[in-house]
Amino acid sequence: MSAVARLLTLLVALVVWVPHPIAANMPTLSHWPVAIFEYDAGRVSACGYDDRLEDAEKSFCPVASHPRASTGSWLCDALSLPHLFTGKERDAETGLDYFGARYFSGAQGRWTSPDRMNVTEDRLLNPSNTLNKYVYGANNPLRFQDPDGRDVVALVRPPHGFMPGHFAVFAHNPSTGAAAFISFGPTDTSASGRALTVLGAPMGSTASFGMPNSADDLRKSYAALSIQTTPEQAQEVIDFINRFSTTENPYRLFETNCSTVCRDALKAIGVLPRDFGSISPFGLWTSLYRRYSNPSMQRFDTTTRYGEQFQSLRIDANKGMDYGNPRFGMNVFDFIMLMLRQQQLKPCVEVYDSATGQRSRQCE
Amino acid sequence: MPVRLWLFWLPFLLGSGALGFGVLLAQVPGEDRTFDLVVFSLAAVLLTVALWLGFFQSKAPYGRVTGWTKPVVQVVTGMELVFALYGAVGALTYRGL
Repeated sequence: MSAVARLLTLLVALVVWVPHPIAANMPTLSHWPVAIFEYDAGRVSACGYDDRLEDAEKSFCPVASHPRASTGSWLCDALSLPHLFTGKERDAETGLDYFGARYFSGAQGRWTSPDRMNVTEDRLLNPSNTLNKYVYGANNPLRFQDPDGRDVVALVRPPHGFMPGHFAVFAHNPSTGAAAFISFGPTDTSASGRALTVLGAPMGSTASFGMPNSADDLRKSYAALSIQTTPEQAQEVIDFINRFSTTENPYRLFETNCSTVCRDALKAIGVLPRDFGSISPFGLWTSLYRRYSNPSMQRFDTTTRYGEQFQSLRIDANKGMDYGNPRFGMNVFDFIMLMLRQQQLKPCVEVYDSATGQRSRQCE
Repeated sequence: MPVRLWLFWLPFLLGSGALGFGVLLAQVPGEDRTFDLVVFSLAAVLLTVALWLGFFQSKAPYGRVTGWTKPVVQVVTGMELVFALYGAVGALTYRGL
Protein backbone atom coordinates (compact mmCIF):
# COMPACT_ATOMS: atom_id res chain seq x y z
CA MET A 1 0.00 0.00 0.00
CA SER A 2 1.38 3.33 -0.97
CA ALA A 3 2.06 6.11 1.51
CA VAL A 4 -0.77 8.20 0.04
CA ALA A 5 -3.23 5.37 0.47
CA ARG A 6 -2.16 4.84 4.08
CA LEU A 7 -2.60 8.57 4.76
CA LEU A 8 -6.08 8.54 3.22
CA THR A 9 -7.03 5.50 5.30
CA LEU A 10 -5.88 7.27 8.46
CA LEU A 11 -7.90 10.38 7.58
CA VAL A 12 -11.03 8.34 6.92
CA ALA A 13 -10.53 6.49 10.19
CA LEU A 14 -10.21 9.76 12.07
CA VAL A 15 -13.40 11.15 10.52
CA VAL A 16 -15.31 7.99 11.33
CA TRP A 17 -13.97 7.93 14.87
CA VAL A 18 -15.38 11.37 15.85
CA PRO A 19 -17.64 10.53 18.81
CA HIS A 20 -21.33 10.44 18.12
CA PRO A 21 -23.40 12.60 20.53
CA ILE A 22 -25.25 9.56 21.85
CA ALA A 23 -22.06 7.56 22.18
CA ALA A 24 -20.56 10.43 24.17
CA ASN A 25 -23.29 9.96 26.79
CA MET A 26 -22.65 6.26 27.17
CA PRO A 27 -21.48 5.22 30.61
CA THR A 28 -17.88 4.33 31.09
CA LEU A 29 -16.85 1.00 32.53
CA SER A 30 -14.19 0.54 35.11
CA HIS A 31 -12.77 -2.14 32.86
CA TRP A 32 -13.61 -3.39 29.43
CA PRO A 33 -13.91 -7.05 28.70
CA VAL A 34 -11.68 -7.33 25.67
CA ALA A 35 -11.53 -10.25 23.30
CA ILE A 36 -8.15 -10.71 21.64
CA PHE A 37 -7.71 -12.79 18.53
CA GLU A 38 -5.50 -13.15 15.52
CA TYR A 39 -7.09 -13.45 12.14
CA ASP A 40 -5.12 -15.23 9.46
CA ALA A 41 -6.37 -16.06 5.95
CA GLY A 42 -9.98 -16.37 7.06
CA ARG A 43 -9.26 -18.73 9.94
CA VAL A 44 -8.60 -18.09 13.57
CA SER A 45 -5.06 -18.86 14.46
CA ALA A 46 -5.11 -17.74 18.08
CA CYS A 47 -7.57 -16.16 20.44
CA GLY A 48 -8.04 -15.38 24.07
CA TYR A 49 -9.58 -13.02 26.54
CA ASP A 50 -8.09 -10.09 28.26
CA ASP A 51 -6.93 -11.04 31.75
CA ARG A 52 -9.26 -8.46 33.22
CA LEU A 53 -12.26 -10.43 32.05
CA GLU A 54 -13.58 -12.25 35.06
CA ASP A 55 -14.47 -15.91 35.14
CA ALA A 56 -18.14 -15.17 35.62
CA GLU A 57 -18.22 -13.23 32.37
CA LYS A 58 -16.40 -15.98 30.49
CA SER A 59 -19.02 -18.52 31.47
CA PHE A 60 -21.76 -16.44 29.89
CA CYS A 61 -20.37 -16.18 26.42
CA PRO A 62 -22.80 -14.02 24.45
CA VAL A 63 -22.73 -15.90 21.17
CA ALA A 64 -23.34 -19.58 21.12
CA SER A 65 -21.41 -22.29 19.37
CA HIS A 66 -22.47 -23.19 15.86
CA PRO A 67 -20.56 -24.40 12.78
CA ARG A 68 -21.85 -21.60 10.60
CA ALA A 69 -21.81 -18.97 13.29
CA SER A 70 -20.53 -15.51 12.65
CA THR A 71 -18.09 -13.39 14.61
CA GLY A 72 -17.60 -14.48 18.15
CA SER A 73 -18.91 -18.01 17.88
CA TRP A 74 -15.54 -19.51 16.98
CA LEU A 75 -14.16 -17.55 19.89
CA CYS A 76 -16.36 -19.52 22.26
CA ASP A 77 -15.42 -22.75 20.51
CA ALA A 78 -11.74 -21.98 20.75
CA LEU A 79 -12.06 -21.21 24.43
CA SER A 80 -14.26 -24.27 25.06
CA LEU A 81 -16.69 -22.17 27.03
CA PRO A 82 -19.86 -23.81 28.31
CA HIS A 83 -23.01 -22.77 26.51
CA LEU A 84 -24.63 -20.99 29.37
CA PHE A 85 -25.76 -17.81 27.77
CA THR A 86 -27.69 -16.23 30.66
CA GLY A 87 -28.39 -19.75 31.84
CA LYS A 88 -30.98 -20.52 29.21
CA GLU A 89 -31.70 -24.00 27.99
CA ARG A 90 -31.02 -24.83 24.35
CA ASP A 91 -33.60 -26.69 22.34
CA ALA A 92 -31.78 -29.72 20.93
CA GLU A 93 -33.90 -29.91 17.77
CA THR A 94 -33.88 -26.29 16.71
CA GLY A 95 -30.68 -25.12 18.36
CA LEU A 96 -32.52 -22.11 19.78
CA ASP A 97 -32.29 -20.80 23.32
CA TYR A 98 -35.61 -20.50 25.10
CA PHE A 99 -36.00 -17.26 27.06
CA GLY A 100 -39.64 -17.54 28.05
CA ALA A 101 -41.05 -14.85 25.81
CA ARG A 102 -38.86 -15.45 22.77
CA TYR A 103 -36.38 -17.83 21.24
CA PHE A 104 -32.85 -16.67 20.67
CA SER A 105 -30.73 -17.95 17.83
CA GLY A 106 -27.15 -18.07 18.97
CA ALA A 107 -25.96 -18.89 15.46
CA GLN A 108 -27.31 -15.65 14.11
CA GLY A 109 -26.98 -13.68 17.33
CA ARG A 110 -30.58 -12.58 16.87
CA TRP A 111 -33.98 -13.16 18.35
CA THR A 112 -36.23 -15.25 16.16
CA SER A 113 -39.22 -12.97 16.76
CA PRO A 114 -39.44 -9.20 17.16
CA ASP A 115 -39.54 -7.35 20.42
CA ARG A 116 -43.05 -6.63 21.58
CA MET A 117 -42.14 -3.11 22.48
CA ASN A 118 -42.35 -0.40 19.86
CA VAL A 119 -40.27 2.73 19.51
CA THR A 120 -40.65 5.00 22.49
CA GLU A 121 -38.99 8.13 23.68
CA ASP A 122 -37.07 6.12 26.27
CA ARG A 123 -35.82 3.81 23.61
CA LEU A 124 -34.55 6.65 21.48
CA LEU A 125 -32.80 8.42 24.31
CA ASN A 126 -31.34 5.48 26.17
CA PRO A 127 -28.02 4.45 24.64
CA SER A 128 -28.52 0.86 25.67
CA ASN A 129 -31.60 0.72 23.49
CA THR A 130 -31.83 0.10 19.82
CA LEU A 131 -34.48 0.44 17.19
CA ASN A 132 -33.79 -2.99 15.72
CA LYS A 133 -36.28 -5.32 17.34
CA TYR A 134 -34.26 -8.49 16.72
CA VAL A 135 -30.86 -7.65 18.18
CA TYR A 136 -29.67 -8.75 21.59
CA GLY A 137 -28.32 -6.23 24.07
CA ALA A 138 -28.08 -3.32 21.67
CA ASN A 139 -25.81 -5.43 19.46
CA ASN A 140 -23.12 -5.14 22.06
CA PRO A 141 -23.41 -8.19 24.30
CA LEU A 142 -19.93 -7.81 25.73
CA ARG A 143 -20.84 -4.43 27.10
CA PHE A 144 -24.53 -4.86 27.82
CA GLN A 145 -24.81 -8.10 29.64
CA ASP A 146 -28.34 -7.45 30.82
CA PRO A 147 -30.35 -10.24 29.25
CA ASP A 148 -33.64 -8.41 29.38
CA GLY A 149 -32.78 -4.74 29.49
CA ARG A 150 -34.83 -4.08 32.56
CA ASP A 151 -33.18 -1.68 34.93
CA VAL A 152 -35.44 -1.04 37.92
CA VAL A 153 -38.19 -3.46 38.83
CA ALA A 154 -40.94 -2.64 41.29
CA LEU A 155 -42.39 -5.70 42.97
CA VAL A 156 -45.68 -5.61 44.78
CA ARG A 157 -47.48 -8.21 46.79
CA PRO A 158 -51.16 -7.38 46.28
CA PRO A 159 -53.40 -6.60 49.27
CA HIS A 160 -55.36 -9.36 50.91
CA GLY A 161 -58.21 -8.48 53.25
CA PHE A 162 -57.00 -5.71 55.52
CA MET A 163 -53.39 -6.73 54.84
CA PRO A 164 -51.86 -4.07 52.62
CA GLY A 165 -49.38 -6.34 50.87
CA HIS A 166 -45.69 -5.68 50.46
CA PHE A 167 -43.38 -3.69 48.23
CA ALA A 168 -39.83 -4.40 47.10
CA VAL A 169 -37.45 -2.92 44.55
CA PHE A 170 -34.79 -4.56 42.42
CA ALA A 171 -32.29 -2.45 40.48
CA HIS A 172 -29.77 -3.54 37.90
CA ASN A 173 -27.16 -1.53 36.07
CA PRO A 174 -26.69 -3.16 32.67
CA SER A 175 -23.42 -1.35 32.12
CA THR A 176 -21.62 -2.78 35.10
CA GLY A 177 -23.75 -5.76 36.04
CA ALA A 178 -24.27 -4.38 39.56
CA ALA A 179 -27.59 -5.25 41.14
CA ALA A 180 -29.37 -4.63 44.43
CA PHE A 181 -32.61 -5.74 46.00
CA ILE A 182 -34.42 -4.20 48.93
CA SER A 183 -37.38 -5.60 50.81
CA PHE A 184 -37.79 -3.60 53.97
CA GLY A 185 -39.66 -5.05 56.92
CA PRO A 186 -39.58 -5.69 60.66
CA THR A 187 -37.39 -8.37 62.18
CA ASP A 188 -39.86 -9.32 64.86
CA THR A 189 -43.08 -10.62 63.31
CA SER A 190 -44.35 -12.35 66.43
CA ALA A 191 -47.70 -11.38 67.91
CA SER A 192 -46.11 -9.30 70.66
CA GLY A 193 -43.70 -7.60 68.27
CA ARG A 194 -46.46 -6.68 65.87
CA ALA A 195 -48.68 -5.46 68.72
CA LEU A 196 -45.84 -3.21 69.91
CA THR A 197 -45.45 -1.88 66.36
CA VAL A 198 -49.14 -0.96 66.34
CA LEU A 199 -48.65 0.92 69.59
CA GLY A 200 -45.94 3.02 67.93
CA ALA A 201 -42.76 1.43 69.24
CA PRO A 202 -39.78 1.49 66.85
CA MET A 203 -38.92 -2.07 65.90
CA GLY A 204 -35.82 -3.70 64.49
CA SER A 205 -35.79 -3.72 60.71
CA THR A 206 -34.23 -5.66 57.89
CA ALA A 207 -33.60 -4.81 54.24
CA SER A 208 -34.07 -8.42 53.18
CA PHE A 209 -37.49 -9.16 54.54
CA GLY A 210 -39.04 -12.36 53.23
CA MET A 211 -36.26 -13.08 50.74
CA PRO A 212 -37.47 -15.46 48.03
CA ASN A 213 -35.84 -18.87 47.74
CA SER A 214 -36.61 -19.41 44.08
CA ALA A 215 -37.99 -17.70 41.03
CA ASP A 216 -41.25 -19.57 41.52
CA ASP A 217 -41.37 -18.37 45.08
CA LEU A 218 -41.00 -14.82 43.80
CA ARG A 219 -43.52 -15.40 41.03
CA LYS A 220 -46.14 -16.74 43.42
CA SER A 221 -45.84 -13.73 45.72
CA TYR A 222 -45.31 -10.66 43.58
CA ALA A 223 -46.47 -8.76 40.55
CA ALA A 224 -43.66 -6.96 38.77
CA LEU A 225 -43.33 -3.70 36.92
CA SER A 226 -40.12 -3.17 34.95
CA ILE A 227 -39.20 0.46 34.60
CA GLN A 228 -36.72 1.44 31.94
CA THR A 229 -34.13 3.86 33.22
CA THR A 230 -30.69 4.93 32.22
CA PRO A 231 -27.81 2.92 33.72
CA GLU A 232 -26.93 5.98 35.82
CA GLN A 233 -30.41 6.09 37.33
CA ALA A 234 -30.29 2.38 38.07
CA GLN A 235 -26.90 2.90 39.72
CA GLU A 236 -28.37 5.63 41.90
CA VAL A 237 -30.99 3.22 43.16
CA ILE A 238 -28.31 0.59 43.75
CA ASP A 239 -26.26 3.12 45.71
CA PHE A 240 -29.34 4.13 47.69
CA ILE A 241 -30.00 0.50 48.61
CA ASN A 242 -26.37 -0.15 49.50
CA ARG A 243 -26.22 3.00 51.62
CA PHE A 244 -29.48 2.26 53.36
CA SER A 245 -28.92 1.57 57.04
CA THR A 246 -31.47 -0.46 58.92
CA THR A 247 -29.85 0.67 62.16
CA GLU A 248 -30.75 4.27 61.49
CA ASN A 249 -34.17 3.36 60.13
CA PRO A 250 -36.14 1.25 62.59
CA TYR A 251 -39.44 -0.09 61.35
CA ARG A 252 -42.38 2.19 62.11
CA LEU A 253 -45.84 1.40 60.87
CA PHE A 254 -46.72 4.71 59.21
CA GLU A 255 -43.31 6.37 58.91
CA THR A 256 -40.70 3.85 57.81
CA ASN A 257 -42.22 0.85 56.15
CA CYS A 258 -41.59 -1.10 52.96
CA SER A 259 -43.41 1.45 50.83
CA THR A 260 -41.76 4.59 52.21
CA VAL A 261 -38.26 3.17 51.74
CA CYS A 262 -38.93 2.06 48.15
CA ARG A 263 -40.76 5.32 47.48
CA ASP A 264 -37.74 7.34 48.57
CA ALA A 265 -35.42 5.22 46.42
CA LEU A 266 -37.60 5.80 43.37
CA LYS A 267 -38.14 9.47 44.09
CA ALA A 268 -34.38 10.00 44.19
CA ILE A 269 -34.09 9.17 40.48
CA GLY A 270 -37.20 11.03 39.41
CA VAL A 271 -39.32 7.97 38.71
CA LEU A 272 -41.88 9.34 41.13
CA PRO A 273 -42.77 13.00 41.68
CA ARG A 274 -41.06 14.68 44.59
CA ASP A 275 -44.30 15.40 46.41
CA PHE A 276 -45.53 11.82 46.15
CA GLY A 277 -46.44 10.78 49.66
CA SER A 278 -48.26 7.47 49.63
CA ILE A 279 -47.31 5.11 52.43
CA SER A 280 -49.17 2.04 51.22
CA PRO A 281 -47.74 -0.58 48.84
CA PHE A 282 -50.73 -0.46 46.54
CA GLY A 283 -50.75 3.35 46.47
CA LEU A 284 -47.16 3.24 45.30
CA TRP A 285 -47.98 0.51 42.81
CA THR A 286 -50.94 2.51 41.46
CA SER A 287 -48.78 5.54 40.81
CA LEU A 288 -46.07 3.52 39.07
CA TYR A 289 -48.61 1.49 37.13
CA ARG A 290 -50.22 4.62 35.72
CA ARG A 291 -46.85 5.90 34.54
CA TYR A 292 -44.89 2.87 33.42
CA SER A 293 -47.17 -0.04 32.66
CA ASN A 294 -47.08 -1.47 29.18
CA PRO A 295 -50.02 -0.04 27.20
CA SER A 296 -50.66 -3.40 25.58
CA MET A 297 -51.41 -4.89 29.00
CA GLN A 298 -53.61 -2.11 30.30
CA ARG A 299 -57.31 -2.69 30.80
CA PHE A 300 -59.99 -0.07 31.21
CA ASP A 301 -63.29 0.13 33.01
CA THR A 302 -66.07 2.01 31.28
CA THR A 303 -68.50 4.02 33.36
CA THR A 304 -71.40 6.18 32.28
CA ARG A 305 -71.88 9.52 33.99
CA TYR A 306 -74.33 12.21 32.93
CA GLY A 307 -74.95 10.33 29.71
CA GLU A 308 -71.30 10.25 28.74
CA GLN A 309 -68.94 7.31 28.81
CA PHE A 310 -65.71 7.54 30.74
CA GLN A 311 -62.83 5.11 30.75
CA SER A 312 -60.67 4.59 33.79
CA LEU A 313 -57.50 2.54 33.96
CA ARG A 314 -57.89 -0.66 35.94
CA ILE A 315 -54.95 -1.18 38.29
CA ASP A 316 -54.00 -4.82 37.97
CA ALA A 317 -51.53 -6.62 40.20
CA ASN A 318 -51.78 -10.31 39.46
CA LYS A 319 -49.00 -12.37 40.93
CA GLY A 320 -46.45 -13.65 38.46
CA MET A 321 -47.22 -10.97 35.89
CA ASP A 322 -44.80 -8.36 34.61
CA TYR A 323 -46.67 -5.22 33.67
CA GLY A 324 -43.61 -3.34 32.52
CA ASN A 325 -41.92 -3.10 29.17
CA PRO A 326 -40.08 -6.30 28.34
CA ARG A 327 -37.47 -5.69 25.69
CA PHE A 328 -35.23 -8.68 25.39
CA GLY A 329 -37.53 -11.42 26.50
CA MET A 330 -36.16 -12.92 29.71
CA ASN A 331 -38.67 -13.46 32.44
CA VAL A 332 -38.13 -10.81 35.06
CA PHE A 333 -38.57 -13.15 38.03
CA ASP A 334 -35.98 -15.58 36.67
CA PHE A 335 -33.64 -12.69 36.03
CA ILE A 336 -33.97 -11.31 39.55
CA MET A 337 -33.23 -14.68 41.09
CA LEU A 338 -30.31 -15.17 38.71
CA MET A 339 -28.81 -11.88 39.84
CA LEU A 340 -29.54 -12.51 43.51
CA ARG A 341 -27.83 -15.90 43.30
CA GLN A 342 -24.85 -14.42 41.51
CA GLN A 343 -24.47 -11.82 44.20
CA GLN A 344 -25.12 -14.35 46.94
CA LEU A 345 -27.09 -11.88 48.94
CA LYS A 346 -27.43 -13.01 52.49
CA PRO A 347 -30.13 -11.69 54.73
CA CYS A 348 -28.87 -9.55 57.58
CA VAL A 349 -31.11 -8.38 60.34
CA GLU A 350 -30.85 -5.54 62.78
CA VAL A 351 -32.02 -6.73 66.15
CA TYR A 352 -33.45 -4.14 68.48
CA ASP A 353 -33.51 -4.92 72.15
CA SER A 354 -36.34 -2.90 73.65
CA ALA A 355 -35.12 -3.55 77.19
CA THR A 356 -31.66 -2.09 76.72
CA GLY A 357 -32.40 0.06 73.68
CA GLN A 358 -29.40 -1.42 71.85
CA ARG A 359 -29.28 -2.63 68.30
CA SER A 360 -27.05 -5.29 66.85
CA ARG A 361 -26.53 -6.71 63.36
CA GLN A 362 -26.79 -10.42 62.68
CA CYS A 363 -26.13 -12.02 59.29
CA GLU A 364 -26.68 -15.57 58.17
CA MET B 1 -75.30 5.47 84.27
CA PRO B 2 -77.47 2.41 84.99
CA VAL B 3 -75.85 -0.96 84.40
CA ARG B 4 -78.35 -2.05 81.76
CA LEU B 5 -77.25 0.79 79.49
CA TRP B 6 -73.72 -0.68 79.46
CA LEU B 7 -75.08 -4.01 78.30
CA PHE B 8 -75.07 -2.55 74.80
CA TRP B 9 -72.39 0.13 74.95
CA LEU B 10 -69.68 -1.96 76.64
CA PRO B 11 -69.53 -4.79 74.06
CA PHE B 12 -70.03 -2.23 71.30
CA LEU B 13 -67.08 -0.12 72.41
CA LEU B 14 -64.86 -3.11 73.14
CA GLY B 15 -65.75 -4.67 69.80
CA SER B 16 -65.04 -1.41 67.98
CA GLY B 17 -61.70 -1.11 69.76
CA ALA B 18 -60.76 -4.68 68.90
CA LEU B 19 -61.71 -4.07 65.28
CA GLY B 20 -59.58 -0.93 65.09
CA PHE B 21 -56.65 -2.70 66.70
CA GLY B 22 -57.06 -5.61 64.31
CA VAL B 23 -57.04 -3.32 61.27
CA LEU B 24 -53.81 -1.69 62.45
CA LEU B 25 -52.32 -5.06 63.29
CA ALA B 26 -53.05 -6.29 59.79
CA GLN B 27 -50.85 -3.49 58.40
CA VAL B 28 -47.74 -4.94 60.03
CA PRO B 29 -46.18 -7.63 57.82
CA GLY B 30 -45.73 -11.12 59.13
CA GLU B 31 -46.35 -14.66 58.05
CA ASP B 32 -48.29 -15.92 61.06
CA ARG B 33 -51.71 -14.28 61.19
CA THR B 34 -53.14 -16.25 64.10
CA PHE B 35 -53.12 -13.21 66.35
CA ASP B 36 -55.02 -11.20 63.75
CA LEU B 37 -57.58 -13.98 63.52
CA VAL B 38 -58.04 -13.96 67.30
CA VAL B 39 -58.47 -10.18 67.44
CA PHE B 40 -60.95 -10.04 64.55
CA SER B 41 -62.90 -12.99 65.92
CA LEU B 42 -63.08 -11.34 69.33
CA ALA B 43 -64.34 -8.16 67.70
CA ALA B 44 -66.96 -10.13 65.76
CA VAL B 45 -68.18 -11.89 68.90
CA LEU B 46 -68.39 -8.65 70.91
CA LEU B 47 -70.26 -6.84 68.15
CA THR B 48 -72.66 -9.75 67.73
CA VAL B 49 -73.33 -9.70 71.47
CA ALA B 50 -73.89 -5.94 71.32
CA LEU B 51 -76.38 -6.30 68.48
CA TRP B 52 -78.16 -9.17 70.16
CA LEU B 53 -78.40 -7.38 73.52
CA GLY B 54 -79.51 -4.17 71.89
CA PHE B 55 -82.20 -5.91 69.94
CA PHE B 56 -83.65 -7.99 72.72
CA GLN B 57 -83.36 -5.66 75.67
CA SER B 58 -86.79 -4.31 76.46
CA LYS B 59 -85.87 -1.71 79.08
CA ALA B 60 -82.82 -0.12 77.41
CA PRO B 61 -82.60 -1.24 73.79
CA TYR B 62 -79.38 -0.08 72.11
CA GLY B 63 -78.36 1.77 75.24
CA ARG B 64 -81.64 3.69 75.29
CA VAL B 65 -80.97 5.21 71.91
CA THR B 66 -84.14 6.52 70.32
CA GLY B 67 -85.34 8.39 67.28
CA TRP B 68 -83.15 8.59 64.14
CA THR B 69 -80.01 7.66 66.04
CA LYS B 70 -81.29 4.14 66.68
CA PRO B 71 -81.07 2.93 63.04
CA VAL B 72 -77.70 4.71 62.76
CA VAL B 73 -76.33 2.76 65.72
CA GLN B 74 -77.78 -0.47 64.31
CA VAL B 75 -76.24 0.09 60.90
CA VAL B 76 -72.85 1.09 62.34
CA THR B 77 -72.75 -1.97 64.56
CA GLY B 78 -73.79 -4.21 61.68
CA MET B 79 -71.14 -2.75 59.37
CA GLU B 80 -68.46 -3.17 61.99
CA LEU B 81 -69.52 -6.78 62.37
CA VAL B 82 -69.15 -7.28 58.62
CA PHE B 83 -65.68 -5.68 58.70
CA ALA B 84 -64.63 -7.90 61.60
CA LEU B 85 -65.75 -10.99 59.73
CA TYR B 86 -63.97 -9.76 56.60
CA GLY B 87 -60.77 -9.29 58.60
CA ALA B 88 -61.10 -12.71 60.20
CA VAL B 89 -61.60 -14.44 56.85
CA GLY B 90 -58.69 -12.46 55.40
CA ALA B 91 -56.43 -13.51 58.25
CA LEU B 92 -57.56 -17.11 57.92
CA THR B 93 -56.86 -17.31 54.18
CA TYR B 94 -53.64 -15.28 54.15
CA ARG B 95 -50.52 -16.99 52.86
CA GLY B 96 -47.19 -15.31 52.67
CA LEU B 97 -45.34 -12.46 54.34
